[in-house]
Amino acid sequence: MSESTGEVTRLLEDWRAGDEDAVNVLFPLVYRELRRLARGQRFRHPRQESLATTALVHEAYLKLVGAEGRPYENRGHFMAIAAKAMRQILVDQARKRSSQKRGGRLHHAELDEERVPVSQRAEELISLDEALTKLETLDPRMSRVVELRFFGGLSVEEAAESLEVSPATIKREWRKARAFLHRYVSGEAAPGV
Amino acid sequence: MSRDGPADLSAEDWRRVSELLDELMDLHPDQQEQRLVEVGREAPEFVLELRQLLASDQQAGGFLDAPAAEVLETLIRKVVDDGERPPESAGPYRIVRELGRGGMGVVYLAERSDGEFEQRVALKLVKRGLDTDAILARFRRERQILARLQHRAIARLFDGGAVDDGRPYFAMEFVDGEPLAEACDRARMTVDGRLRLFLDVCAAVQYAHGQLVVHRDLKPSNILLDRAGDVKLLDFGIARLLDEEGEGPTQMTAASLRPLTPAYAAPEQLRGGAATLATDIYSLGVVLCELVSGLRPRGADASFDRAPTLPSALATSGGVDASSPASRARARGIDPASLRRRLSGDLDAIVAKALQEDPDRRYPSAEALSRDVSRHLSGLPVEAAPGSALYRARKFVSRHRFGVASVCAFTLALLAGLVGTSWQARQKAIEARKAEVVKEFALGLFAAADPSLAQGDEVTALELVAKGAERIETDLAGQPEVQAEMEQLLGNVFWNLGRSEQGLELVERALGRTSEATSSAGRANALRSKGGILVDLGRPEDAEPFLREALAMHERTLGPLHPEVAEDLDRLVLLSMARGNLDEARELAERSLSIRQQSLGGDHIETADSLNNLGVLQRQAGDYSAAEESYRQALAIRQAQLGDRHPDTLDSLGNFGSLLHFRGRYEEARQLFAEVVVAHDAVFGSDHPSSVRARNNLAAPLAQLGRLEEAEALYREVLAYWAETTGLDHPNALGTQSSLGLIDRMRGRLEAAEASDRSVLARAIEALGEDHPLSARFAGRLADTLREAGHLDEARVHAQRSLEVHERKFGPEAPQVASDLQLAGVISAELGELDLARSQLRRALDLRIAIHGTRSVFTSETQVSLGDAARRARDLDTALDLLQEGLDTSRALLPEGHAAIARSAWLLGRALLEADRLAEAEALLMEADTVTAAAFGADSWRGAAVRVDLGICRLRNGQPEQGRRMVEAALEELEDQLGAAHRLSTESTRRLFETSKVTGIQGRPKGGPTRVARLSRQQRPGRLDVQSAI
Repeated sequence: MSESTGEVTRLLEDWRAGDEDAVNVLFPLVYRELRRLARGQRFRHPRQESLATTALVHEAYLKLVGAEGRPYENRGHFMAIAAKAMRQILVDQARKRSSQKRGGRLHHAELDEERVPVSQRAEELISLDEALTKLETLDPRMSRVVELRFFGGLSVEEAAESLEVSPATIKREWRKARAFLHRYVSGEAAPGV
Repeated sequence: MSRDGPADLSAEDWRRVSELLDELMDLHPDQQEQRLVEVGREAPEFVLELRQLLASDQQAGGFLDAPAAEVLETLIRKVVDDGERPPESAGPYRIVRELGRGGMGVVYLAERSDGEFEQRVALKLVKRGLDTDAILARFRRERQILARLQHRAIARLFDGGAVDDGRPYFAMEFVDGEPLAEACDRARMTVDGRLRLFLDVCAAVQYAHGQLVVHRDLKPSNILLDRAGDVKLLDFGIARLLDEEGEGPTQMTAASLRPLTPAYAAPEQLRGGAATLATDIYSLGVVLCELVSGLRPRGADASFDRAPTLPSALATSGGVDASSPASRARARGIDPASLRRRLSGDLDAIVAKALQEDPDRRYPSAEALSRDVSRHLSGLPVEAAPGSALYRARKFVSRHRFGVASVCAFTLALLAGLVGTSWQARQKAIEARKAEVVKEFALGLFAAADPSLAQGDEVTALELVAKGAERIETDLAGQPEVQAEMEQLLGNVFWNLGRSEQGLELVERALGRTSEATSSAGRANALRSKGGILVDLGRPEDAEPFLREALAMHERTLGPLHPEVAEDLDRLVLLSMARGNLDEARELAERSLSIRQQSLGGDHIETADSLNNLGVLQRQAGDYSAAEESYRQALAIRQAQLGDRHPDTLDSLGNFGSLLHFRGRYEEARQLFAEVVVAHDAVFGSDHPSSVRARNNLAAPLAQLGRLEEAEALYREVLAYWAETTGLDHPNALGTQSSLGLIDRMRGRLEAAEASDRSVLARAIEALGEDHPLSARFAGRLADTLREAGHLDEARVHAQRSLEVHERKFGPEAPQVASDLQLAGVISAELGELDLARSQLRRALDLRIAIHGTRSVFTSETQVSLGDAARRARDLDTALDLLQEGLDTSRALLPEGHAAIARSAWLLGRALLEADRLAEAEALLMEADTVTAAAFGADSWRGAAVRVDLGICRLRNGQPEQGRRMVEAALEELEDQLGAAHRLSTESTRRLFETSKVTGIQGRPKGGPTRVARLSRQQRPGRLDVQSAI
């Protein structure tokens, strides 16, 4: 258990208590930890095709908050932050890749094995982020469901815990959000994300 | 769909829309529609939005369902590597800008800044977390090897070192280019074009492998197409430097850093196994698949549980990527269906072989892979997919077009027949299972026929069959019936390949087994084969009982009208022909034809075989119009059933050519043979046995047309082929050598011709016996040469021999007999036995008129010879009539300047000279001189012989000096070329002497008396009237 675990727990509790500033401190902490974990996971399982986002997020929680003796509610709040952090990480990355592509700078020694698909997915991800941002203005909870499910990799039940609503609600919100996002995205990118 | 719909919604609107959505989503589609109509009345502004959202809901199945990780893992990896700031410099290199990044690190464009020259390099900065010391230690160890990698398609590695923060870097040749796949797509390069570039990739990999450097991380992004359009491979050997393999089992963490790209890595690599040549081959397979189809053979999960998806399937597959089949096909200049067809078959097989999970089953080298791709590009069978024997058979047969040789046309038709249904239909006696075993076995032979599996460049049909024969004992052990079937079959093939003894051995083995076997069909077939081979070996007496037994068995078990019975009859036809019983042979052939017409129909290809056989018999018997009709029918069937370019069809055309040739219609024959040569060349290539034989055929009319140089060149080409393949003692080779002897004779090179004819005859007798028709033909050739050389007694012996054999073999009315009688008559005439000569030539003329009609070069040849014999017998009226007729026919049928016209004109001129019609004689002799000079050259002895007569004619026709000089000069030439003792020399000398006396010319011509004196000493009385015919 690192010394930061106590700090994160305290911040999470502050946030639950209504301290919005706590999120501003928490977010970079979670962000850095997720990136560190992602790298570690990559190193430990180099032959695994995909990274387990869910595992990353859970691992980050254990690292930052710790397993035992902590208020259960903290976990849901942490997940919300972690999912948002993952979204931030991924979308930033997608923008970077997208701009590199457009800059045509990848001709030489473009080392990425996923060349074409990645660039397409990057574009799609950026569109999705835009759609999600729009959805956030219309329906914040619905957008959070997408963050948790899609970026945080949480199951319906976990998302329900995090948002303190029923799984049925999550399912309904998820379905509507998907229709909304698909409707938004399909105009400019093929479905498939 | 309107794009700005959702963006225009307010939060308030959305809440309303969201509530309505909840309600609508739970409804059945019909109710949904009804509810929407109601909503349209209450809140029309939301209806469009709702409809669109509901449509999206329908279409969004799967949308966002996949965990983000699966879709975005690559991006996450980028995250992992992100934040590595570029160093200012690396060793002597100054970083200019980033070029790209990937699993191993970041690549920068850098410049070497410490030297006097500017060098731009691609500088690969290895990511953090790798053991710099170990990497650099390996680099120092391997830099010699890597520096030695100098190949135009491999980007060179210049240098390596570490930057300030300790990360290792490598400086490599900077390639200004574009990833291969993208460059190809942009250029809309065809599959062929891509394959050719892929060959360059293979060549580079093969080169590196030859230097013992494995790439380990081959993938499209490592393969660039530079601005010059050349392929360049990056990072050769780099992966090895970054790998901890072999550094000890304790360094588990480092081992896990082994750089590889899962989508392109071989399964054993992913399992942590060593990178080998075979892993590079696997990666090349993935690269090839993606290059031609646009997609990789395995999805993102890289699971090896399932077989890879092959290029043709990928061509029309949607895949998870957004690129559509249409866009991928368009990038290759075709539509998806065409692309699928283009990739199916060979390319699927090649990719599948490269992607074998078991490394041992992949291509053994990049070269082997490349060779297969080349072979595919050239339409040759590919090594890939060894399981697909049917494919092999098809390729083999299609490439060889049913034949490696004429003999082989049968061979492969036989083997190919196993694949098809016709053979099985004919083998009803064999139960299906057994037929299947035989088929499998035969198909196995085609696998062996693949050149890439064999030692040399090509597997000959003979090797193929020999291998098969060896395998009968082992592979088919315990199945005597199948073994017998196969032995019988391969025995036939051996025989058709000219290996009669080996064929006989196999067939006898088969016969030995038939006591164990139950099938009488198998036994009857083996008996037939044995009989057929014995006939071919010149043992017709031994053959007969077997053929008769086979026929009886087939008739008993299958009925008298079964196609098998026709096949037996065909063999008996050959037996009868070998014995010279042409009538019997023809009867049998007609029976065979009738059976096939009844059982198989008038347009069956086996019916065409019967017609063809019958045509040969008719042609040999001189029944040319019947032969022509038979050939015509056979040709029509073959053209209809097999197509114009099938070897059997070409054979039929060739038979027409032969018919024309034997009828003396040399120009037409030449044209037809020339067409056949062209067709064979196109089908088989010019060095194929069928093409070679076609050339041999073409040479014959060329020679007869006096186009001796062309003919000789063709014969020499053909002979070189025989020398390499069958050896010079093979009957085919003997035939060609005999033809070359004939050309020597036609050129007047009598010594060379005689030596050649003697050698050919001796070897033919050695190989075939004296009684063989071929030996008889060669004896006739020698006789003709000896006659021209003046050795008339010996010539007569050989001519007589030829006549006897031909009469016995082909009957007393065969064209060969007519030719022999013609020759014998001329010899008799030259020997002064004029009554005998005239009776022989009269018989020859009757035969030739019966066979060829009056308008034939053969008929005219005999007319001229008979006319000349009449002249000798002082029957000048008969002589003049015959000679005039012969000359007219020759002129009508032969091209201007033909040697036979010269001969006719000469001999007629001579008869006119004797009849004292000097003006007519002079005109004809002048023509003969001119034509002879054109046909044989200005200073040939034949021309000299003509000028003796022309000189005498002028001498008697008031130009004594000019005539005498001409005779003198001609005599000199004759003596120079043929010797003073040659009958043409002596006879000419005598005639000059006599003419001088008659005309009472005063003064001695130079050398004249000496000649006369010599003549009177040398010449025997009674030989004075010896006369020549060309």
